[in-house]
Amino acid sequence: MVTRGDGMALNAIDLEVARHRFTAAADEMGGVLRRTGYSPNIKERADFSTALFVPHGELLAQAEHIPVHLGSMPASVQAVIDAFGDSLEFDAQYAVNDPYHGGTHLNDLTIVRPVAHGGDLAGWVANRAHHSDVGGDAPGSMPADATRLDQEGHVVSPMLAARAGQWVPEFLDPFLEATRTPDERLGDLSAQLGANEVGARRLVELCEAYGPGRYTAICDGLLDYGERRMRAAIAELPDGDYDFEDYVEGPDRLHTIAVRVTIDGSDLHADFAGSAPQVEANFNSVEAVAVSCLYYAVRVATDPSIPANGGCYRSVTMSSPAGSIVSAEPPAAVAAGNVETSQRIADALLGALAQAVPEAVPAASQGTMNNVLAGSDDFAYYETVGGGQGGRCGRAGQSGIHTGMTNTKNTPIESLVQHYPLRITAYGLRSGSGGEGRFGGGEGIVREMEFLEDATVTLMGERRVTEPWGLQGGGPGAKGEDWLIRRSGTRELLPGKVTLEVQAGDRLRVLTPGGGAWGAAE
Amino acid sequence: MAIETDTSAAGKPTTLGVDVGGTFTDVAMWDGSAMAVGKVPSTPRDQSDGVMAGARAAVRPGGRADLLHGTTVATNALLERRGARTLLVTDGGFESLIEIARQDRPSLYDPFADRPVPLADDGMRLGVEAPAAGLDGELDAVAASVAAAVRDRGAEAVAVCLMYSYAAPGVERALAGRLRQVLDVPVSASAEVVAEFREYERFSTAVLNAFLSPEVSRYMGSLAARAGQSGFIDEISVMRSSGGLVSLDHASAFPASILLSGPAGGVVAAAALGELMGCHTLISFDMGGTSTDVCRVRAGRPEVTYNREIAGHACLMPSVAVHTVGAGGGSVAWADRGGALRVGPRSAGADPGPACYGRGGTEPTVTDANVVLGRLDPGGRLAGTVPLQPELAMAAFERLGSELSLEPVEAALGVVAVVESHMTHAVRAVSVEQGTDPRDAALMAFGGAGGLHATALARALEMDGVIVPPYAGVFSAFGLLLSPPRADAAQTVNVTVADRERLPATAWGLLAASRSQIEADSGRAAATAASIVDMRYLGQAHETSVPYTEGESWEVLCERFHRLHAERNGFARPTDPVEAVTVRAEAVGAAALRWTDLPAFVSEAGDPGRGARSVIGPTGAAEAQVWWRPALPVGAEVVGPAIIAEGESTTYLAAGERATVHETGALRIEW
Repeated sequence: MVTRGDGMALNAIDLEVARHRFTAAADEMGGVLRRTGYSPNIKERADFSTALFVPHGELLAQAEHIPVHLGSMPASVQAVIDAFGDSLEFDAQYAVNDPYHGGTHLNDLTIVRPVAHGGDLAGWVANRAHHSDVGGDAPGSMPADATRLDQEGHVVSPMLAARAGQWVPEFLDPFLEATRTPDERLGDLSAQLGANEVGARRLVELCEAYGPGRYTAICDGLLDYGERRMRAAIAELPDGDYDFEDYVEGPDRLHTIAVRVTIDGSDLHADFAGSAPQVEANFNSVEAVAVSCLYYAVRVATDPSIPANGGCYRSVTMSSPAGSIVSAEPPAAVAAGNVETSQRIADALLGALAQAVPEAVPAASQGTMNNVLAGSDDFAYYETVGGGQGGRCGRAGQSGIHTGMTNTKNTPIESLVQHYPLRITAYGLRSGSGGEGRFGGGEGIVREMEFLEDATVTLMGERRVTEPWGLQGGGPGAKGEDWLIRRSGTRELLPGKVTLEVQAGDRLRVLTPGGGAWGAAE
Repeated sequence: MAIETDTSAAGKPTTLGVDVGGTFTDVAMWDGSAMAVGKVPSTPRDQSDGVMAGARAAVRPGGRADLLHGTTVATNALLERRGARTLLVTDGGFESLIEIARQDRPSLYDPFADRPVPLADDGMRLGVEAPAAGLDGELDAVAASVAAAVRDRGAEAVAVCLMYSYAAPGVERALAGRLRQVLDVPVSASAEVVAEFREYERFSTAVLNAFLSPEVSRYMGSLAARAGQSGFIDEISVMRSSGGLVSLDHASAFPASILLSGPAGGVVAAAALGELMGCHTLISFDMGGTSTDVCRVRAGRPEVTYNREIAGHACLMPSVAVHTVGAGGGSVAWADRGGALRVGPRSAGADPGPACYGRGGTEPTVTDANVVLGRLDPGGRLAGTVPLQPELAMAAFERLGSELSLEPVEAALGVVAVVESHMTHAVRAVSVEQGTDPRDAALMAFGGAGGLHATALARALEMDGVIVPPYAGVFSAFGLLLSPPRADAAQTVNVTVADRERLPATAWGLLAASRSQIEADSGRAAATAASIVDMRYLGQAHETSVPYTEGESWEVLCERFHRLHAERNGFARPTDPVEAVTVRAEAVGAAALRWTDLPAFVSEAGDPGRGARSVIGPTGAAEAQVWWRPALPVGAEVVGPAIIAEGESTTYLAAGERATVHETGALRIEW
């Protein structure tokens, strides 16, 4: 197989060696970010991603971190290109978190840096990190009752953030002003800046090693290679239209996510026509999030070993009605769209793809991140809780694990009790929550915490009304439940999405959903 | 195989290093004046057969020896899950914490990639209501319920893992003590195995320890018995993962601490040789048939890590910071569906092995590429006996090349380039990704395939030269002789400025305990003992290890922390409050051998030249001189293109590279 670019042949060896070199640069950026990051969210939970891009914005290589980041980072780079492409400063770094201009939700701040070589743009490096507080109406910046974006925190539309490695005050001052935890933010921001500087240096070294013409040919060749791999994988799926519907849970009703996946030769298109309109709540997804879900689902259902780059996604396209819950428009609030609706969009896509390749797709996993935020003026604690994986053709689902669009670690109990006025009174698997069938669903988790001080608690969870579905006749997993057990002993079943006040001595008991089963019981 | 010994040394105290590998058991013998090395076949069913055969071959009749042992017995028991049926006893409500682990999944996109099944699986976890300290009656009741569960469920080992036991070990210790009185199976208590916080990691380490206990104890017992019967083995010491030796009893009690016993010896030897040659920073590069281990050495000491995963299980035991990649000489090359040339992770193994072995393997491997390119002698013999079949290697590359529109030789060159890019990635993982620059480090290459790829790798990373050590074929066994007795201890304390007076008491207590262990194990005082404190800014989740000297004030310690934090992480916050999280002690005794004790390297008599052969590189074929390494005298210089051959390994020099024979017999390669 020979690919040509700039008249220079690129062979099978060049491809594989180049892939290693570019991926190593992205990995190194991730190493820098984790090593130099300040907050537990970066260092312990690794809630960040790093990637390299070609000059016109296609993804060149990425370090594998958080699925919901990686499909959507190209949108951040594109937003910077749209805003600054004509007036680009090569030693500048740009920041964006605006979900309507290249972001996903406000906590995820992306820093994008152009990389020049010999006076020309050679590419981009970018990293995205979850900042645990960016202001807004509640600690953690995901108030459950928000309806507008500005209630969720400080919005950064693509803007120049740093020059020659130094922050510009127009970006930094309002950002630190808005957050409840400016010291921690500054620590993480510095790490983001440093990671991009290292990535830029590596990209320049690669330019010099290859020479400009060959460098371009190598980048083109890698993207073409990704396209060939993905097309070969899609071509194996049977042609056809595959429809699926799933639901996001509002306070009083369900909101439909409808998708038709069309496979035509080596092309795959997902159409979300028929999905519910956007809502006066915070569980709206923006288009970049839906794109991430699509890329995630396609990789799960085809060949997970395909190295993700922009070329892989040339044959994967999406359409969604503007103003829908899948592709919301301003000024809708979106915090839970990124962390919860994303899970349901992925489920809907996997449900459709399961009809094309039943043996490759697990039954529905827990389909939520079970976000728990607790805080006061003195502390801010954020945790997501794993659950059951769906049963798989040939094997039961795994228990107590993160699935879908996130993969963050838990906070060790012996660590969190040192930092927060909390006690964990139970943490284990939720027996009997996995769906029954030939290959059963994995079990959810039981996590119970006692508050030692008064606090404000926000829960954002899904699958509290609908069950994670089974496949091929397998039974559904159990729904999640959240209980508030007052000090007096009274028990109250909470809605899946809520912000409430708790008092010292109260306990919160979170039961996360089990996975659906694959195949009918024999 | 007989091991040459110098009979003039009769009567001197002898030390044997015996390291068990997958195929061969390597032996190095030092009698105070001379070294002898050799190999015997490994005996996987019972490693001690091979160990004793190697010892017998090395020690002359009538002689006696101490035995230093690197073993894979714990590693293999874990990889093959041949350990004990283990009962986990923990707080009620937390029984499945061991399964949830850190709740993350191993592969983002592959839903079929599973975490390992916990070593204490679903039916083997018992939640108990831990009694308050001092309530003996309740303790007895809990112990009785555990004993009943052990009987009912057929447990062969018990791990007692209570929350917060790292700080308050009393109840866990008392329960374990009571269980040891009433049970005849081994009992591991989590804080006795490792007194550090983070419950999943501590529990996992304790469960690993319990799981491995019976198998490792049985092996150590059988080795001790056979050594005793043999009449010529005195003391036996075992290599731990951290690169030091412990007594057989200690290894039996803490088998989780010997999981990296195998690779540790080579890293220790690399560090020792680097010191002698003035290379204080280096990266050891041990490339074998199926995998490659790299490890960073800094200031003459192997980098040690305190928290790693082994086969997917968290293990808090200190261990040399070896990073392993699944690529080696036997890795198979293939064409993927996007038209890229890929190498590994599948390996042809020893059987059928590479195509050129002629044992039925038809897929091209890295070894086949080296044969096709002439770097390995196409007229050579496998293990000195079976002739290699280069035409089978060529045929394999013809098939691969036709899939990729490449000439066979191009494909072979490509395999070398791709495997070297894997290796480059691995070296970057232990250097640049940890914030250190490989350009300051030399590459120390050993293992069967190390010398074939070392210079290309080092040049790609602009490293400071390559060293190919002497005894490269038995480097881990040789490293055992250079390894000191070692005791490691740790205790999580969570001290801040308010209660800083707690720190010295704990630190010196741990240090004293480590020194005593060295004295008890080796009969001699510790040579050095160091205290280290893992520190962080209050609220951070990651710690930086800071050396701590007796008598030092909290302020001085904090200042050093700020400085090291800036070095390692790029920033410091000198006005922020600091927390001392975990205190560590490392006591080290005297090794059996210092490199400077070795006699000067003397080359074999005879002409080192072995003619020339054509070797193909990226720019075409060139005539390479072939040299027999044992016959190259100290100071000899070899200029590439050249091949330097020895028993089990080969070093390749491309044009422009020069190797000089160092007084130790090491090859120092520059360009």
